[in-house]
Amino acid sequence: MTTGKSRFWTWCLAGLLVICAAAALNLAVSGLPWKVDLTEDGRYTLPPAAERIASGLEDLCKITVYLSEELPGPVRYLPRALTSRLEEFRAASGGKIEYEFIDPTQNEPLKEELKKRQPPLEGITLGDISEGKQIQGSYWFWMIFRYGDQEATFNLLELREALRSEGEFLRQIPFQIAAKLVKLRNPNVKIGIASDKKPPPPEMQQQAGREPIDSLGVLREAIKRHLPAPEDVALKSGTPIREDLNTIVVHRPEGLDERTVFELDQFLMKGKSVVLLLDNFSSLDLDRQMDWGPAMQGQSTSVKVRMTPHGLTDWLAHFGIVAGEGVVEDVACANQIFNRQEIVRDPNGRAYLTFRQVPAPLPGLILAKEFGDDKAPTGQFADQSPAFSGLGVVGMAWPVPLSIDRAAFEKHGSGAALEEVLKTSPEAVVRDITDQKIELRYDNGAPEAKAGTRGSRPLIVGVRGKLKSFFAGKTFGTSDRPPRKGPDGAELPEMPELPAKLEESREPGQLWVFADSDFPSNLLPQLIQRLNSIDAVNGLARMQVGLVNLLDTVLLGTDLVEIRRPNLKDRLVNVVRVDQDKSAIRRRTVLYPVLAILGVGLLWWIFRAIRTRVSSPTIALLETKP
Amino acid sequence: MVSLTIAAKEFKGFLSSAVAYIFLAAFILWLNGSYFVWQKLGTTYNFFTVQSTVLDVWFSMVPMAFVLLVPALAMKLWPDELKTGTIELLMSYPVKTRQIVMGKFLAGLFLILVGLALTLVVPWTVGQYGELDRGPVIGAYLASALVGGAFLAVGLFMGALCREQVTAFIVTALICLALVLMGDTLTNLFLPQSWHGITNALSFSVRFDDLGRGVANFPSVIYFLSFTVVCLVLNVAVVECRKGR
Repeated sequence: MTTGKSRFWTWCLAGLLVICAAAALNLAVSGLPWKVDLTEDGRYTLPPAAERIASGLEDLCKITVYLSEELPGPVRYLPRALTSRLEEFRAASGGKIEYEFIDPTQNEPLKEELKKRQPPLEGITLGDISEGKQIQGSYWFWMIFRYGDQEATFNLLELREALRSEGEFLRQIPFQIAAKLVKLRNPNVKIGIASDKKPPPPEMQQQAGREPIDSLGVLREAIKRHLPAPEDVALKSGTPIREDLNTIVVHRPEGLDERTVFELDQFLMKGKSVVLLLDNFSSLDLDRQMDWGPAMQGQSTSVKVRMTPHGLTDWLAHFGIVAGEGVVEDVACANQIFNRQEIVRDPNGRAYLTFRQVPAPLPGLILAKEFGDDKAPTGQFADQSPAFSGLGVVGMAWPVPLSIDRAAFEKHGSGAALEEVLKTSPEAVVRDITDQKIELRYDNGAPEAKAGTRGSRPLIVGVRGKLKSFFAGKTFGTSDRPPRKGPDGAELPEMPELPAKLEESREPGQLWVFADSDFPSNLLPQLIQRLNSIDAVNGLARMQVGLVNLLDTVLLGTDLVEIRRPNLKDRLVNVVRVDQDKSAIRRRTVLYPVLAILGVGLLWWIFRAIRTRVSSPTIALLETKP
Repeated sequence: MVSLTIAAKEFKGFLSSAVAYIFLAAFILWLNGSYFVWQKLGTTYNFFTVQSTVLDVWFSMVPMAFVLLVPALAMKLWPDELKTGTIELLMSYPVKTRQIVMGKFLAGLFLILVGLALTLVVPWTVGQYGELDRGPVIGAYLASALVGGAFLAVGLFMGALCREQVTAFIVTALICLALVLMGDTLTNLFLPQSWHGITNALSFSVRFDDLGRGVANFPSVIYFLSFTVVCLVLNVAVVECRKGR
């Protein structure tokens, strides 16, 4: 027989044993990588494309992470999260990736050494709160990737918003690591950007300086993250395009003469890639800043533009791409949600500033959608395009009317392919640009659509494979090359010892034509943001992502695009429908469940009341006497 | 089997009193109300400002809602028996203490699961207006059930220790609050760096977030389950010690 005292101690001991066993069990399993990613797009699992990139390494890649051991509160998860991802990369590479963490905070010689590097690596000063006190510290967030004699650096703070949560960081970091690996494996890839740089208008010079800029800074940064920095290329000098470039992006070509077109043509025939961002006019460029001011404030319904004939019409037509005049507008693709500020008053007359979401069409700003509201494909996206499928909604501003001439393309034979990657809806029309103005609203007497122009129009067209030169068989006097012109348009003497003209592709090349040149501009999102259209800002940003995707696929294959795609999937609700159903949603989620609970309670109470025999003499009497 | 019979009886007891209905109604009002009518406490977040089918903001309110509601549910289970003296009668039946504890725990857990089931209307509604990723929702419901179970086990243990319902409620709520806030950025700011590893490992919110974002993390599941088991064993120990007096 156990006494109370011994029972007490027995149970105390049992309790202690269970606590110890639980602690031991938790310690034992804490390091195990047993995780199941429940997300549909597997965003917390290393993507197969990242595994392919890691497993494709031929040499050892050493990653040194210069990360402070003591980090500010919101990013303290970094060592743990980064280690887990690097470990996955290491496993996928079959031991070809090695990594180490170093905290240079207390190591002065190392700090000096890192400071001397190019680019210099230094601690970043950030504020934090420790034990209730505000402090400032210098923190390290750098990664250095070494592969053979190649090196790449990455500052984790570049992830910006993604650093706010561990989940977001885990989602984004595989792309950054994979991109660095790809960059190191392809050190000879080179991209050129040909653009017309202008000095900023006087009102912007205080901010932007007086140096000529082309407002493509954001695009250059986006490319630089995982490809070598794009280099400036001049197209108008009449000299051949550099042989070491793999791809050239031509931003808003303007007045290209025959000789320059010849150089582009020959570049393509060498098996290189040409990406053309076309426009018939400059609307959102540096020189149009002043015109947008009144339009944004509602004082004007149109914006004055500067016509910019590109000079590529005949050349493009040779490849089956017809670039027309005027501008494409598509009511079916122009509906957007605007955040409108509104002042509302309560019954006491107090005024509140609120935002109301208003759907409205903005002509010319075309948002092509991959799926409709019913989640069915719209036919505006080409399913097979790795660069664009998955982007959801992409935008273009007042695009050039493109069309396809299959008969002209057939001349290139079976070794070439033409694809329309992105299209408008069948409701698109072409309008002329009268008085050098584009209209901002449909209801203000905008010019009529050109007769017979209604129909789906391509927004991005790609031609690839073995192509025939536009200049094949053509002679220009005694030369097979178009005359070379100087800056004043005067003809210059023929260049001596020119290599033989290529009449057809030496290697398969790629020509990509975008019907708009405004979407990569830094200025466009600023202007659209003033309109408060979330859809437009997102759509234009996505188009830029699509362009970078395209450069990736052209230069490096589709792996990086595959990794990036799940990160772009936003799960936004249909705000217009939500706004319409606001009361119904509240009823459905709050009122009805609470009423259901109270109703069940009431029913249960009635049920019990009926079943409970009441000890009343009257009821007893009624029950005994019929 | 005996535990299930006890659980059924306890659950009927819940339904006969107002506790179950108040618990369920308050749970729905707190969670759904603060996401669809008002805003998450101290933030500007609600469904109409977030505009997304990602429900992490909504789920992040579950542990805090449980901090107040689960202790209110648990405070009835043991202190009532102690106060009315029915515990003596209960102990005289040929059932084991662990069966009684399990019965009470299962009854409470079932009510919590009913509460969570009633909130399924939220993902369903949100899914009508956009593309819902079911994975994180399943993970978050699993995490909610685990946190609810763990809090209930704490409540039962504290209820067995305290004779007064109010005392049991306050002590349980404080422990649950500490478990939620531990490892939170806010508490980490006031604790020395050397403590953060421990607080993060013990924190319910850190582990809840992990499961809630769609990663079924086996160590986190083990943590919640072992925490619950420890509390239930301690509860059995306390009741057994009382028996011996």
